[in-house]
Amino acid sequence: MDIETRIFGTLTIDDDKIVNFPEGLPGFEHLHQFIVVILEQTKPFYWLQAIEEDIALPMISPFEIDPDYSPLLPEGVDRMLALENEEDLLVLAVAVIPADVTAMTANLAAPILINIDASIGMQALLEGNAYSVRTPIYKLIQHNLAAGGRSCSF
Amino acid sequence: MLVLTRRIKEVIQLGEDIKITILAIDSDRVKLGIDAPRSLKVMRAEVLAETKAVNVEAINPNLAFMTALATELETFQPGLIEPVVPVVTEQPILTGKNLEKNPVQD
Repeated sequence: MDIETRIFGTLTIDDDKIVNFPEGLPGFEHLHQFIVVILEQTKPFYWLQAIEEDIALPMISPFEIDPDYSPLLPEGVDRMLALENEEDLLVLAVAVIPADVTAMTANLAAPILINIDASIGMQALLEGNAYSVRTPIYKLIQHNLAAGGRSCSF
Repeated sequence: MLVLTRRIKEVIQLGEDIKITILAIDSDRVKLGIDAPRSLKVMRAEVLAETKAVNVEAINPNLAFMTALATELETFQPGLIEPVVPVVTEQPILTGKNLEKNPVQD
């Protein structure tokens, strides 16, 4: 199947790579099918591209932001994701990358969880106060850029 | 709205199987203990509302910045955990076309 996207142009998708989000995403409850797009060129950011509409959300590994990230997942998540093996769980955080990139944030309070074996996904709303919906990440990205031997003009 | 006054350690019972216990009271914070069936979602209301807002903001990322990541930072190796999901495409997608639409700021 081919889909036309604003950001990626034409994407050719195998049906078995489509991840089903039974409850959609908050704000996009009507969208149930997504694909994870991984591009070397935009790392550390990944993309969650919707199939039914041309919508793509940038994501970043929360462990990139906080190596000790250890969310207390709500009860029932493993059931909803049909998760049998924890190693099949992919955890990502939606990133907001605004015009003023110094204000960029990631949502560590509602991680995207994907069972990569069963291709089922959800955005889990964490209980408790440990993580913020708008965690600033610009300085950290900058730090990583510097560590990679490059400066960034932003 | 039903308004109840409770003291510390007192409990509010909702229906058969939901109990809310007042655990601690600070000047402007209340710590609640919630016993509810696992089928019931319990969350801070603002997390859902803010997550909706954040998701809607996220779909219009600064493509100029993403393009800069793509072109200037070839050696950037953040050492993040590699997702194991299938790669859809490895073609470079953030082209000069995107850059023109959303010019890089100096």
